[in-house]
Amino acid sequence: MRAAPTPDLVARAALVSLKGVGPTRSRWLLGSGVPATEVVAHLRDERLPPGIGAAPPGVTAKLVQDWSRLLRCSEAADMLAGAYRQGFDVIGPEDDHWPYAEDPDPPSVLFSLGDLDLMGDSPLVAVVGTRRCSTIGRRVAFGLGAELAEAGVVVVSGLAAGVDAAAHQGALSVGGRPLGVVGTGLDVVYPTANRRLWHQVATNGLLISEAFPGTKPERWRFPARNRLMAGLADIVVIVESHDQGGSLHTVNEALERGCPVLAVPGSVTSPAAAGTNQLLVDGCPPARNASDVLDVLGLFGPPEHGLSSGSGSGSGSGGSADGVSVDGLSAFERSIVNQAAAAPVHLDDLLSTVRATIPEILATVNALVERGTVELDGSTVSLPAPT
Amino acid sequence: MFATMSSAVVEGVDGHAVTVEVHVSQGLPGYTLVGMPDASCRESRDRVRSAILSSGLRWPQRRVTINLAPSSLRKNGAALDLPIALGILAASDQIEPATLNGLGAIGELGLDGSLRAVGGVVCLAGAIVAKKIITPVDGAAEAAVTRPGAVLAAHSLGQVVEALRQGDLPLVRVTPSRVDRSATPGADLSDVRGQPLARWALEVAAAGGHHLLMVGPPGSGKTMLASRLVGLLPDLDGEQALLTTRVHSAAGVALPVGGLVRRPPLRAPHHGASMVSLVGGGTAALRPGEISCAAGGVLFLDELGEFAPTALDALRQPLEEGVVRVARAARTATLPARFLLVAAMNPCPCGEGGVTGRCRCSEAARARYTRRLSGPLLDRFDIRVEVRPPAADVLLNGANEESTAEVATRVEKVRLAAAERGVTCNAQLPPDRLDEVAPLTAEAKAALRAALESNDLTGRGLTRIRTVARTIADLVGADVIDDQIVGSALSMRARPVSVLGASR
Repeated sequence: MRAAPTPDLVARAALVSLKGVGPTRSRWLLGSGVPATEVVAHLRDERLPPGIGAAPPGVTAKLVQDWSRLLRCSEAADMLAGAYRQGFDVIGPEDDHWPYAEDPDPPSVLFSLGDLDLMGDSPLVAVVGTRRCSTIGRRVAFGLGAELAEAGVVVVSGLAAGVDAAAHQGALSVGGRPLGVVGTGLDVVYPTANRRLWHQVATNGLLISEAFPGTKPERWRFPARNRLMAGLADIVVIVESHDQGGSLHTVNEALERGCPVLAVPGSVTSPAAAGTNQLLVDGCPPARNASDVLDVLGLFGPPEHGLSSGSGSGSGSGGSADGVSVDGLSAFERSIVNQAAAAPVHLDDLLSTVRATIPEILATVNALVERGTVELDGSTVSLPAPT
Repeated sequence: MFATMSSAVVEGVDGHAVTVEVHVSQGLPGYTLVGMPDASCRESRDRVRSAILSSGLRWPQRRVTINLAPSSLRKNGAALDLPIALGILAASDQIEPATLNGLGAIGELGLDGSLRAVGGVVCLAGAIVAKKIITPVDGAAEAAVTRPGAVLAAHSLGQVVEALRQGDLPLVRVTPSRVDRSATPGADLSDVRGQPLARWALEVAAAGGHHLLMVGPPGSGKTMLASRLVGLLPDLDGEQALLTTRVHSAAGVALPVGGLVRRPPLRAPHHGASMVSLVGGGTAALRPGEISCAAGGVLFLDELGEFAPTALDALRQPLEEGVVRVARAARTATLPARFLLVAAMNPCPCGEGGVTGRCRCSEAARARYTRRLSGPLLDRFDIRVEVRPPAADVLLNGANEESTAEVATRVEKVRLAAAERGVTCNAQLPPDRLDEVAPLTAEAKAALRAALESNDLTGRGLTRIRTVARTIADLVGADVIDDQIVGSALSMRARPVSVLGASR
């Protein structure tokens, strides 16, 4: 049975449930050390609590009036009971699991679904990136998620489309326990395409959010969510990011907290890798595979096979080809596999580099597909995704 | 007092013989038209009356009754104007009723008595049982396609009456002129630089009549390739030429000089096309749709992802059967629909999707785009090829590639081989004859088994693969289908997973 929430926790939850109270305003309300219960008591009487400083722009008398009405007409404890009924846990700074004790910009309260112990013992690595990732980016994220989970790391991600989802899918594929940090209320699945993944993460791992249950997605909530990821993770790995992409926000938050950031190198021609490649130029260490990440983490990497084949363009053609089992391949087949290993290659390009007729190449590619050595996506030959 | 004249109406692509009976009797002046005429047909009264008066003839100031037999058939269109006018003139003794014996007529009348062309002349002329047929000059050549030597062409009602009185009408002699392939306007395949795979896909599609799907970003040359496919196809044979001509005539598509459609048609409806405009139908008259107009030729659906899902799914049954049965409350029609389907689509709404990672679309927009394409429709594409824009070097410095004529020679060879098997093209080989005409080696069977077991192939897909394999074998000159050939056929069918998702 769950212990009854402390008055402080109830007050904090009541504050974040208010319309127009996000991370910035809750920091203003709670940041100067006035106990949450007192803040609530003052607000309920339509007064700003003394000692918290001047109201930031946007907080009008009208808004305070609204807050007061909201606090008066609903009992915060009842609202929390609603969250508990849905299976959510609520933790605050007094809780043992609280991970943001030293964070410069902590959330005022955390809602969670799943196993809270996940935040304690094992190392946490955030694998994040653009929603509009390339096929390669998706594969790399999936591979990293799987490899890291196998090494016992908890993969943290934002449950967005693209890289975030792929990383968690990778972790789940090897029975890992992922940790999702989301920007909406825990009962508001966003994006809806990730509904299944959302539930899988909650069942096998942990979902956390600083937003009161029922909170709808809003633009500003996602950068705020990024700061929670950065504050939680021991390492942040950026798989793919466009120039000025949202993932770079996570990078800034991580650097502010002294959390190491690694970037996966991408093709110089891919706009989806422009942001990550810039990070490398700026001196961010590269993450070619899971071992690179585990090295920084100070752990032993998994044996050398594995991700290298999936990181494709990242690790260069030579290394990738070695990662593929080449037994029984003819010279012709090997040349196809080598080209596919460097980067997904269109059959037109294969035709211009090897001496063979079209039916011959098509037949050879089909034979390789049958053996699972390569994949044919339309007319593009690539290495299969790591599983 | 009484005269009859034979004529016809068109429904779908079939002409139906109609006998126009005119009775002029004592009584109050009046005009009655019976025998299920629709509005356009009923309006003939005013046109006929004015035309008769303008031609210097007399409108009988008596009771005029016109019956269009058989009365069970709904009559539409203005083609009955001329037979009605002639019938009235004969029944009111202005021309000798006996001169109309063995004579049929079609044509719309202008108020000045001039004769105007009507749609579906080819179908109409074919249905008229009379020995000679009077048609407007404008449609005479087309009418002569089905009734060579039986067509009498005239410019106006006055001219017809004059000729009937003198027993002499000018006879249009139409010799079906052979259209030279070199004279066919249209683009040549030698303009397409690079893209060896897409060219090969085009060749296989043309040779075997296999449906082709092209996926690629804007500007990669999908439309350019598709418009050159029709040039690779051989001329239509006599029966197909006649069928396509009938459809075009009924649909009001301009017919070539000489009247007979000899070159395979290319139809490229815009993606706003409704289901009815694609498969045929309509409320006033059953009109053939685009798929029937493409009979014997190519139906090109550019921007496949932008078509209405209902319109696309309506193509499934015609693709399978080669005919489309359009049924409406009052009538049904079976229209020809054996065509080569070529479709082109962008990988996603922004066009940059696929493996490049340049896509700017949200996941939801991408899903919405491909959701329109049902699995069963995609399953009917035997060849799927990803088209990429050729490199700058190839575009600027590339040598001229093979011309349409060169490729067409190879295509024709495969089509001849198919003709020996008793079908127009290999795609039409029935499944039960495949073992006989496309025998597989043991290795080829193993390759197909692997594909079936890995769930990449449906039962229908298996049959399709075997017909494509037959075509490839014909192209490379092999009798038996070995694993090489099956392998290339399977590769040609590979699903563009990053565009359409993984499941089949």
